[in-house]
Amino acid sequence: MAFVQNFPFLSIILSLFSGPLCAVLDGKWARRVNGAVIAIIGILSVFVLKNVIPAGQPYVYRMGHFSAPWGNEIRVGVLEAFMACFFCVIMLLCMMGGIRERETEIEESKQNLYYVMVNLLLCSLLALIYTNDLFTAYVFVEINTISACGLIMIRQTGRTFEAATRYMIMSLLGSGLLLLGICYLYAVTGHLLMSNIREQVQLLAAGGQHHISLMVALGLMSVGLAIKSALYPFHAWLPDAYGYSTLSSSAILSSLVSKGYIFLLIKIFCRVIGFDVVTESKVVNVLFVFGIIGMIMGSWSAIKEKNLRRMIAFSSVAQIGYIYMGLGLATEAGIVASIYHVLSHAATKSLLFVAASGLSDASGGSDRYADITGAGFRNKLAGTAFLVGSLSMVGMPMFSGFISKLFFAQAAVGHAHKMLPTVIALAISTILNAVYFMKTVIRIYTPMGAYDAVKGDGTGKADGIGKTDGTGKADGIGKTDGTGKADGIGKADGTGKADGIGKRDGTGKTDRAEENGAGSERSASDWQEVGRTGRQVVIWEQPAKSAALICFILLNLILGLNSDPIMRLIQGGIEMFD
Amino acid sequence: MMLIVVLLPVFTALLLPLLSFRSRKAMWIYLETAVCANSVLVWWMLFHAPDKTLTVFRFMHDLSITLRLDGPGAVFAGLVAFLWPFAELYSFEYMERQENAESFFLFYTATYGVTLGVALSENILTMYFFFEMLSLVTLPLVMHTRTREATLASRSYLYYMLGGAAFAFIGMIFVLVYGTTSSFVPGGVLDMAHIQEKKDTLLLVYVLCFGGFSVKTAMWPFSAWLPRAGVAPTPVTALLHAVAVVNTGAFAVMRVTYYSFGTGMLRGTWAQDTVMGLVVFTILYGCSRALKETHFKRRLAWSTVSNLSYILFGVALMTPMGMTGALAHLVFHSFMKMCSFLCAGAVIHKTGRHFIYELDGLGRKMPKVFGCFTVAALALMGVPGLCGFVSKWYLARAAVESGEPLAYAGVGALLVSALLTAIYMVGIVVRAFFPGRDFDYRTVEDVREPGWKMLVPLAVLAALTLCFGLHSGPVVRVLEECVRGFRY
Repeated sequence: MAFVQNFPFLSIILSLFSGPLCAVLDGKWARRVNGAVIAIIGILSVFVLKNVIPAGQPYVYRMGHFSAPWGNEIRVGVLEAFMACFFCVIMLLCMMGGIRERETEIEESKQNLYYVMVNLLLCSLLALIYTNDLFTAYVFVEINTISACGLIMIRQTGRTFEAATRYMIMSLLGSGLLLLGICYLYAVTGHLLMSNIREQVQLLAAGGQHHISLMVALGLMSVGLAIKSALYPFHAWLPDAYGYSTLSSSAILSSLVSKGYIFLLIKIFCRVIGFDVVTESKVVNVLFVFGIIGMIMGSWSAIKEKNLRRMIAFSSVAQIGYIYMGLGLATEAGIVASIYHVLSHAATKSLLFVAASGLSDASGGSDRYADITGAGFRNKLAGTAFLVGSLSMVGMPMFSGFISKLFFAQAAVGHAHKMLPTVIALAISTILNAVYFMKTVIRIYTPMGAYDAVKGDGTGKADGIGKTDGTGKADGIGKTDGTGKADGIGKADGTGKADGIGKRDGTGKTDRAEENGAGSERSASDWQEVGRTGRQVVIWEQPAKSAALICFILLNLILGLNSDPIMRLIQGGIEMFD
Repeated sequence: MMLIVVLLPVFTALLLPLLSFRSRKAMWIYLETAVCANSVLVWWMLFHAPDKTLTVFRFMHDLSITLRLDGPGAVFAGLVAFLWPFAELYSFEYMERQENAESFFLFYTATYGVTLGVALSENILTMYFFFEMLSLVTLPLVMHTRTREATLASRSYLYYMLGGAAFAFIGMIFVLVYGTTSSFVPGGVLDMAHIQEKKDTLLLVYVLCFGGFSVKTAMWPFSAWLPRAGVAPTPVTALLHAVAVVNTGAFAVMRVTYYSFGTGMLRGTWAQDTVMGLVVFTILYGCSRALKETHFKRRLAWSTVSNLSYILFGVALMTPMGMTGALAHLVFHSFMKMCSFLCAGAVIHKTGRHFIYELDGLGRKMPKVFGCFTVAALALMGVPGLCGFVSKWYLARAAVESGEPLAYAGVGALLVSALLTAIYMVGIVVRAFFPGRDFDYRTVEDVREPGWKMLVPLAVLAALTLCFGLHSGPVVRVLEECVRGFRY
């Protein structure tokens, strides 16, 4: 056995033990340890991947060389190694993106606890990916839930307590159903190792025995994991949990935690029950229908949402609907499309969360939809990143979202009954995505004054000045003086602003504001308010976040432009499941 | 070569913010040189084109961005290449006093490359790619004035565009899955053996796809965006919303119908009836809305809605004749409509008047502008001797020869629409030249003709409208050859 083959086990153990280590360190060192651990595990996974691809077949790693039923096994194939590697990359980027938010939003004494949770979370994700034992999977599902709950709650506001409670209740319900399902399966087959269960299930299915028990087990496990990954009717916990927790938590929760459960479900479909049995059952149809409803309803809720981060969270509901729709097609192409969407959604959604926080940095820390007007000009990188993420979500060619949309549609077209519903749902959901994402993009590239220009009269003027943002300020006022019309403010435009950046300093602006005839007192006081709500954010202000954003954009482009090798990896990995 | 043509405008545009010109004049010279050079390249390519397919990039093993020049593509590319330098020249004067001209020209010039990309696409994925890009790249142009109205207009513009693309996407997927190849081949690429039992589904998909692509041509019920997008500066409305963007939609529908799905499968089915019904209705609907409209540019936009449906009508006939007519109208309508929009822009630029009832007596003060407008208006009506007549004649002939009952209805619609066009276009001309006896000329005293940068494009377009009308033979012959599948 090559030394490399120990790496998956080592990664799990490493992340597990770095958890307690972080508990005794102070915040700063815990952060470093955590970053190093994620990076090391990512590199280890690359080695594993390089080892597995030429081998062409998976290997089973028996821990302590005990064989079943006492021993515990890890099974490593191409897809598992690739997922582990990808999850590490995403997690590292998410942690990088949220450094400053963590420092400001989490109490000093609790900083290191955050990294304990992240390490445990990584450990449980890796275990979910690698394990070959259904009960081990259940144990790590619970660890995953608990650490995710900690990640939500560690930013201590009332909202997050509520969110964490909801999350806990829903998640435990899901875990309970999963456990019930596993029990049923154990009762019927007498095994807990995935490959052994599979053999038994094949025998049972061939003989037509215990059909109902098998279906019940499959249904319970599917529904349990669907609840945990926020499939549509069970998504109530999601917007609060993603919307109010600290930045890196929301990014990790949305892009990794739910994806870990989905990956487990795929493993259960392909490796525990066996794909042909799953195809025959009606359970997939249920997932398909709820997936489609989720695609539409998630977007619908996102359209109505007024808070940027909650909007992105609702969009997750829609995207998880896509994934379940792909699973519900119950073809290999459908599963491939779903896995690809897991990747593309992980890359895009965390990009959007980080970009959104960059935009609210430039808008006085507000997430409110109305406050981010023009933020794309103030924080150029975050604006670009948000644009890329939105285009990817809408499915613009060149970005990752397009490729997964393409795979979904191609997978659907081969299908007899589910073809039309799928393609039409895809089209409608694309439109809905376009509605809320592009609305936001247009909003962040609209100068602040534009929305107030219609007011028109004298008081409107003062308001308009107050609300014109930092950069366009001087221009807008200049015009107001000249023409005495409120329209002038509205016309303070993009390039004018871009020119103004950096050339005029704050005091100069305030002077001008005071010179203004129309209620100089008022505009001056408004002015200070503006100082809080809008400011320039340059790239090097938060180097980690900027680097994370750039990496995310690159990742997105790689997934969008170079999908062929990844596609082959996924297909190869699924073949290795058998 | 083909790649250069697509990329040159895009890079020219991208360099614009980096070069940061001191004076606007230098920027204009730079842009006009680049655009003219590109047009020369395109025309050179049309005459000496190597019959080559150029794969630029591969998304996946069988999906690639590939360029090729063939008949209809050549017509569209040539048209765009001819019109763009004039439009660019015109917009220099129009944007003279406007702010952030730089960002305007950035996107305006980039659109040139993207439109050529649509014209030169070899397969349906490439076309879809450029089709989406076009929606994005023109969005900032609609948003340009940054007023609340422009923001709302650009929102609805984008929703319509992306929504259309989403449904076009369905069609694309079916062609990819059921076609023998994703390339455009005259007569269609669908694998007949595969689809026999799924024919109805496929027809439904065709209708969805037709609807999706024709969102860009503003077919009813997707027409609301076009008049609203009129808030953009006039060069945008003139070139993009009368030529580039909307023709892209018509061109895409043409490609999908004749080169992907294939007319053999579609002719005589309920799908053809459905799309033709929609198109015929749009012809009348656009005209009647134009009649009601009092805003100058919006009236022209509604007229565009109706005229683009002429093109779609030709496409929906699904005969070679129909396609010739469609291509002819695509070319000629571009000249006429762009000319009339540019006139509207000149009026707005010089006087700031946006509504038709404000135009009284302006003809006397701006005889050159309104002279050109009169030519364009008459051509749009379809007066013999002007080019609008030629294309309508071909369309009507194709309709009669196809013998479909709905096609006869279409001919009727063409006649009614000619009458309505006469009313709404000539109404403007009459107001401008003959404001009535008791008109107070002092209100238009300080109105002047625009400068040469505006007048030259106007004059050239009006002259061409006249030339093509009188001597349409060669053009139509070229178009017929294109349709018959002549290649370089």
